[in-house]
Amino acid sequence: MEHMGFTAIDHNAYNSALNSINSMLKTVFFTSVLIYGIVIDSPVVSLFIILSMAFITVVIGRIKLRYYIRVMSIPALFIVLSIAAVLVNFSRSSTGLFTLSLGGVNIFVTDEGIKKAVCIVIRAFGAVSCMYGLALSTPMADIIEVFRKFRLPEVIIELMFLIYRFIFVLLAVVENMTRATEARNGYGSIRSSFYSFGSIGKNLLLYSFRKADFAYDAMESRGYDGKIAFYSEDRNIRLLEIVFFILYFVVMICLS
Amino acid sequence: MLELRNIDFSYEDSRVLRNINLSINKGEKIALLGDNGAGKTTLFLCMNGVLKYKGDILYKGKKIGNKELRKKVGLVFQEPDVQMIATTVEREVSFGPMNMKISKDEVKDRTDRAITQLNLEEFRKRAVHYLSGGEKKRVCIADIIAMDSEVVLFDEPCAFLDTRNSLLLEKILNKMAEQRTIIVSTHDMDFAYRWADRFIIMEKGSIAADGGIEVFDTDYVEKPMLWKLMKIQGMEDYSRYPRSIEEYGDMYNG
Repeated sequence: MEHMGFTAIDHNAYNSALNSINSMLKTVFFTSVLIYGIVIDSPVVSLFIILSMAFITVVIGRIKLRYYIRVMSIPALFIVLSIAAVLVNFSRSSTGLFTLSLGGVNIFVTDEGIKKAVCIVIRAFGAVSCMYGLALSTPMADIIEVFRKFRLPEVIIELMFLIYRFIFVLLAVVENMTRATEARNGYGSIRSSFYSFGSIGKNLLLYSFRKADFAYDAMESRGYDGKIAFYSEDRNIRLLEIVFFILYFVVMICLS
Repeated sequence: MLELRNIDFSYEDSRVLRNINLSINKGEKIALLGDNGAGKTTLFLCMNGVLKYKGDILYKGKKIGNKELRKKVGLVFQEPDVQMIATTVEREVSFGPMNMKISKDEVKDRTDRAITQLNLEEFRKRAVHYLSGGEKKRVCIADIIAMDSEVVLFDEPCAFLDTRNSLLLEKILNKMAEQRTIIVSTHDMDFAYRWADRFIIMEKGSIAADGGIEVFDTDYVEKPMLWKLMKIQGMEDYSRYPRSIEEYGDMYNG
């Protein structure tokens, strides 16, 4: 079974060697590294975060390097596009390191602009690699449990649980509907493709309403009375993990 | 153990259950048969206390409310994806006991026992959406076992299962029936004939027949293979009818 997009990230998180570590500790670790990296604004620290997160995720977590590069390349496009505003300057009189004159307007890049853009790229990648570090080591369900421990409102937690659960149910339905449409040449022309797409969307909406009704019945049949509660055991935090956590921060502080 | 008196249920203007009267005894293995739309699932939802019906349901001679009924009568839904709401097997199995407001230790104990009983230890921490159809079905059964219900209703348990998993499920049902009353709704007549002691046939929301294998003499349902074979051979004494192919073999070899 090939997993794509969000389900692939979740699937990898389940299979990560880091999945066995206490999720609260992981969430606190990755989030605090992310915040520190952004606040400190040091390219050296950010570079350290990028490299160390890649090491933690790929080597310790045993996520395939090819997959890690692929997921890291997704935000790369957004980051590169967003730094264009920082990198490129427009002026009628000034010029910079590289200048292009178009209709009396100079479009140029300055030395300082390049440095600033590189710093932003490294900082952004550092933050992204922290988020991927968490996403590729902690399944979504565990992250929701951590939110519950942080006293997020119960209604939001329950919605997150149900949405997360139904993403997979509805994805399987979409897959079946798409296959059934393809089998009847539903995407044979642009016109029929639009029609099929619309029909699948409509049917999926109706299907999700029906399934929601059934799911509610199923919950009620097991005594649901307004609060979704599960039993789960927290994984113990080991001394080695705390030592690693502290050492990591010591290194970051020294580098900054 | 469980008594249904004059149960009636309507979805808006459509009357789905009509004056159902049933008495379920402890330890019975019952097959609920009938065509699609006969009212089997609706009857299960009423027996479990999910739907608000007209009439009375008595548990051990006492009239009980819907909330209490849900603790006594467990329901395994036909589609596992509809029943399962949690993200991992362990959490899913613990959902019912958690709603029973018992201590966490008791919840853990019940969850562990149900997981062990259904051989789900290796999947304990796994996400439910990555399980196969047969594994999902086992999780749904573990859900109900963990609630320790004395009566368990199975809505078409063999639906979507391959032969191997259907046979495994039959073994699980037999084991569960040693301690509980089991009612199974099914379209698989051969399975029903082989497994059940009592057969209830529903027709257009009413009980059309209730009894032993003689109910197959009616025209409400398709007849099981072995039953037909015995009829062809001219055997009239239902008590001598073999209930499995092995019994049939013994009958002729012996």
